[in-house]
Amino acid sequence: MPHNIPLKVGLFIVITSLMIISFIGYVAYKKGFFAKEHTYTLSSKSGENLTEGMPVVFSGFKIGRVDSMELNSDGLVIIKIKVPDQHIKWIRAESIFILEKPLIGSARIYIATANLNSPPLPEKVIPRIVEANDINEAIKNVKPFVEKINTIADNIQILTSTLAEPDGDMNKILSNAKDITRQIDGILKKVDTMAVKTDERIYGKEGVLLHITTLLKDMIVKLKKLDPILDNMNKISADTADTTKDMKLLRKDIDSMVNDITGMVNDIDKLIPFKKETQIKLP
Amino acid sequence: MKKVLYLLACLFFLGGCSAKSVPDWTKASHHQLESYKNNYLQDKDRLAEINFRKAAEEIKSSGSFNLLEKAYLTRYAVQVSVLEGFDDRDYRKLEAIEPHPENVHFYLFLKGAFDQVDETNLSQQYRPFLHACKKGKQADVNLSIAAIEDPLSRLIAVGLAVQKQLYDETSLTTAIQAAAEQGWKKAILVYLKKLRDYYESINEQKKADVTRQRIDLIK
Repeated sequence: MPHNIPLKVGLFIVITSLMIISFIGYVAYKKGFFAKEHTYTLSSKSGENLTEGMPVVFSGFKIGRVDSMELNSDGLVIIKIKVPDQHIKWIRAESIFILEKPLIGSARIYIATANLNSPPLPEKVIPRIVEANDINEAIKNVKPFVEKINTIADNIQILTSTLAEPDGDMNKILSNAKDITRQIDGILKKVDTMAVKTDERIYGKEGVLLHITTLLKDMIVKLKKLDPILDNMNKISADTADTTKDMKLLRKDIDSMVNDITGMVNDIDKLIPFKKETQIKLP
Repeated sequence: MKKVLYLLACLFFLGGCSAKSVPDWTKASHHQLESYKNNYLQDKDRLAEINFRKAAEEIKSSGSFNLLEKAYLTRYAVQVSVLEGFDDRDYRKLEAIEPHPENVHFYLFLKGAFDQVDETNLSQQYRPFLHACKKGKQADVNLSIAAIEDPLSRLIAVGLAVQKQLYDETSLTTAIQAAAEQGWKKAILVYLKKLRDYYESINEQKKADVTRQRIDLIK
């Protein structure tokens, strides 16, 4: 039988209790239970969607909660929010408090701070809450569409009723279309008959195509006969080109000779006495 | 005989040495202008045109406005001699820059402006003709034409007489005779046609027919 059992049990209970208390204290400390809280006062025209304990959010993180709400003498709802000391840096003089009511989920107060360098919000100042009601906005946006859909539905109804009328325009159009189809059918039959006749005239035994083929064959034979003539013409043109070259050379020779002869004649002319006068005179 | 031959040879060479040297352009332009006259009057217009162009080029190489004016006036005179009109723009451009009295009065003579012609600046051979034309006596006109020695000048005078309506059978026959002596076919045909028309105008049909036959044979 062990000694001092009651003492040991007592010690165990005391230690366990101390550990539980210290754990709870630690968790509470970590959760900011002992942190200093700042109270800010907000105002709103309506207390709708506002509840005590609803979260105050900055950039998607909860930084505080609604502590209490009361109606003042001016009919405004005064909301007191509590923000732990570590989060007051997000609440500045330029911060806007928005009551956000998402389509799904509970409402919350959203803090939007454009300039974090602006001075801190004094606790005595009471900013107004701005409402951002997603449901109402969605309804407002959807309303024109719904109106348009209604108009379209009305038009469809008019159309269907017009179509359903036996003497309506649609039935008239359809009957006209039937007549046109019948006439086109007649025309197509005539064209078909013509095509058969044309086919006979072109491709028949005495058709044009046969004559053309015969003509073309004759032409090919005649063109073949022309080939030697063309060859001769080519030769002639080539010879002519050569001759022209020769002629040019010959002309150069003749020019040179004529110049020489002119020179000689001039020389002889200088030697001949009593020559004719060479002065230019009027006739 | 040998002595005579030696003497002739010496004279030939001495004559050659003593002759003053004539520039090539003068000879060439003179030659081309003479060829122009002959070719034009022989109805070889294409050749004549080449001759005149070459003559003008040769004269231009000398830069002599006087000679260039004379060349153009020669061309106009030849055209007058075959009863054609002429385009005087080229001459007038030259005359505007450098007028020469001899050329100016010959131009007026060719244009038929006899009253404006100063006789002293006109060639001697045309003066009696000018007098006769001013008087308007046909017999004197014919005599003055016959008195002109140069055949082309004679033709020019007849051309001007025709222009002034101062012509008859004699003047036209004189022109035909002058052209025939030189072998100027174009001139012969032109004056034969004029003679035919003249005969027809005075109702000498027989003569007109003979003249037509002559024309047909010459063509």
